[in-house]
Formats: sequence, C-alpha cells, structure tokens
Amino acid sequence: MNLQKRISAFLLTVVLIISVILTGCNNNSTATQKPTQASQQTETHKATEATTTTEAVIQTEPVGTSDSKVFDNAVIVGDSITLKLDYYCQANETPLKNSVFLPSGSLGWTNAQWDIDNEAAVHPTYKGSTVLVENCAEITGAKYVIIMLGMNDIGLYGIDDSISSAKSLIEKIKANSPEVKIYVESVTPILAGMQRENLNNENVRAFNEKLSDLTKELNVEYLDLYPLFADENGNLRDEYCGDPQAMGIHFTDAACELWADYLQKNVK
Amino acid sequence: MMKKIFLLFAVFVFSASVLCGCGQSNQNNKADAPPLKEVYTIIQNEVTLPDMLELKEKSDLEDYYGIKEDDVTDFYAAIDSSGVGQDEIVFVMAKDDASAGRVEECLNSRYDSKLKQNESYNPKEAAKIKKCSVKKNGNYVSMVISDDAEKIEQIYSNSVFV
Repeated sequence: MNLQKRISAFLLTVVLIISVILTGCNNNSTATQKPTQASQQTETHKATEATTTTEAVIQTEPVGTSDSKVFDNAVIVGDSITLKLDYYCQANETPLKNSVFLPSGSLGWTNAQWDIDNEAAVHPTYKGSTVLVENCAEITGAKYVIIMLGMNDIGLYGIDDSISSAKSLIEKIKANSPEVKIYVESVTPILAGMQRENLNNENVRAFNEKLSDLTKELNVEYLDLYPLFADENGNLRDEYCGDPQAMGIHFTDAACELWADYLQKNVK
Repeated sequence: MMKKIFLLFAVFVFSASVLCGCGQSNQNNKADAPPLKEVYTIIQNEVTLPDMLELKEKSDLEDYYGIKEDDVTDFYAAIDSSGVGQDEIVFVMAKDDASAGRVEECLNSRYDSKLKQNESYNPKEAAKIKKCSVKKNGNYVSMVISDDAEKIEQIYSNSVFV
C-alpha cells in the first residue's frame, strides 16, 4: 500500500511536470517567439543572398520572341521617374515587364555610389535585398543595363560634378560586368512652371549634352529621351506630367507608353 | 489501483499532446475568413483609393518584397500606380508563424525603404508612411499605407479576425 502511494505520487508529479512543459511549448507569445523568428529570418536572408546568383542565371535563359529577349535579359535602373515606368509596364503587359526593374526614389548618379550601409542612401532593392547599382548586372544576370539618373544630381551637385559621378558609376558597372551592353538615358524635361534655381530645363539640357559626350567617351549607348516629352519650348508637355501640382517631373501613363515603345525600338 | 493510475496518466499525456498540437498557430482568425482578395474588394467599396497596380502572382511578392512563395498561403497586394503617391496595401496569410515572421521582416524592409526614399523629396508622402506600420497577427501580416489606413485596417480586422 505504501509502495502504491509512492508510485501514485511519483506519477502525478511526472504528469504535472509534463503538462507544465507542454503548456509552455505552446506559448506563442512575442517574447518567446522573437529569438526563434530572428534566427529563422537570418537564415532565410542568408539563403536568399546565396541563391540570388543562381536565380539570376535562370532568368537569363532566353525565351519568347526576339524583341522580348532583350528585355528578358535587361535590368532597368532609375529614380522615381523610372518607378512609374515599372508600374506601367507591369500593368500593361509590355515586353519590358520581364525586365528587372531597380528604381528608387531620390536615387542619383552620386548617391548610388554611397556605401551600402550608409544611413542616408536610397539604394534599390532586388527581391527584398538592398543592392548597389554598380552590381546590378552581376546580381540580376542581365545582359543589358538601361539606366536613367541625374534628376536628383543636377540641382544638388551641379552639372560637372554630376557628370563626374555618372562617369564613375558607368565605369564601375563596366568593370564589374564587362560583357553587358549599357544604355544611358538622358534626363527628361521638367514642367514649365516647376523650374527651380539649379534644377531647370536649361541645366537639364546642358547636363544631357555632356552626358551624350560621356557615353561616346565610354563607348556606351545614349538614348535621348528629352525630345520625346518636350514641347516646342523645351518643357515637359502637360499631358505627360503626372504630378503638375507637386514636382512637375513625373510621368503619366501616356508618357510611359511612349517611353516603353521608344525603348523597344532602340534597345537591341 | 495501479492500472487506474497508469490509465489516468496515459489519457492525460495524450490529451495534453493533442492540445499542444492544436494550439501551434495560436490564431484568432475566423475559421470562415474570406480570401484576402475579397477583403480588398470590401475595402474598395468603402474607401476611395487611388489607381492601384494589383500584384497578381505570388512571384510578384518576391520581386517587390523578397517574400518567398513557399511562405504564402493567400495574399492580396496593390501599389499606387502613379509612382508618386505611396499608397500600398499588402495582406498576407502566411503558412505558419515562422513564415509570418519572415513576411513581416520583408514588409518592414519595404516600409523602411519607402520611407527613406520619400523623406528627402516627397515630404507629404513620407508623413503618410510614418503614420502607418506593418502589423502581424498570428499567421497574418499586413502593411497598409494610406491616409485611410485606420479604416482599411478596421475592415480587414473585422473580416479576418474574431
């Protein structure tokens, strides 16, 4: 009898301990979950980085018609103006939809070369990871780089320093991916009433002229988009301006349609 | 007596194990919660939204946010298509709590990136972003950036959660 009581007491104690442990294992509170999630997230992040190159290689396999092949293998880099082109192409199923878009608001030739961990930098993201523009072809596996920057440089750094930054970045892309074909797009015009002291159409045109010369020097392609969107006075046409009450530089769908069509005809 | 004790022990351990398994997701979502696309339709009927680009494929989630397809059970995502306005609505039902954690991390990165990009040249939109946040509730993760974020999140919560 005494032995039975001892066994009973022992078993009940075991039951209590197990039930406490089981209840604890089910505790889904933030406090207990966070370390687990953090470690899983870190592992996932590392896995993403590790597989990026493989995924990029798969993307470079040519598919579709000859026209679309170019854009299946292209990376399109830019600022907030290019961001609109990205959304337009996704919504309208243009061949450019298959390109990798790396747009970032406020991006310019200069800040694109800041350190990747610079707090003030606005580097674009590729599949959720921050990337440097100079590595854009390597990371995405692209054979064509189409790049439009400058609107965020001209006003801040002036024309000559902006051109120096453009030269430096293009050289870095060429050095990192010597086999890629690089297309540099001109800066586009600004709405008439939105000219600023340093960022205005006169300076944009002067910048574009030097940018065109630079592309010849560096043996890369130049795409002069300015005339596509400018009226007879050299200002952005009203019908192409998506933010007439704000900055006067962003595009409408009609402008993006024209832009996408131009790229399809001129990137080969 | 011994047999009774052992039987009691076995039943208790089995019950505790079953309860532990059932509670893994610890969700408070409705059993009959509608697909997230339907939730968005309800929102569209009650809130005026700008023109939005709908992300239709799970692979779009990886392209724009780095969210892996394997982590997602259901989703709805749409982005202000103007490229200037920063409205963005993302609802994700993740496969499990760990997946939801990874989705939350991706959306937080997107949120930080949008805020940083807009702070220097687009202060109105940056202020809008600052008022909003990424939220995780069980296996569900959301990011609602809108002047009507509170109302949108209320509709979403009423549709999905108990």
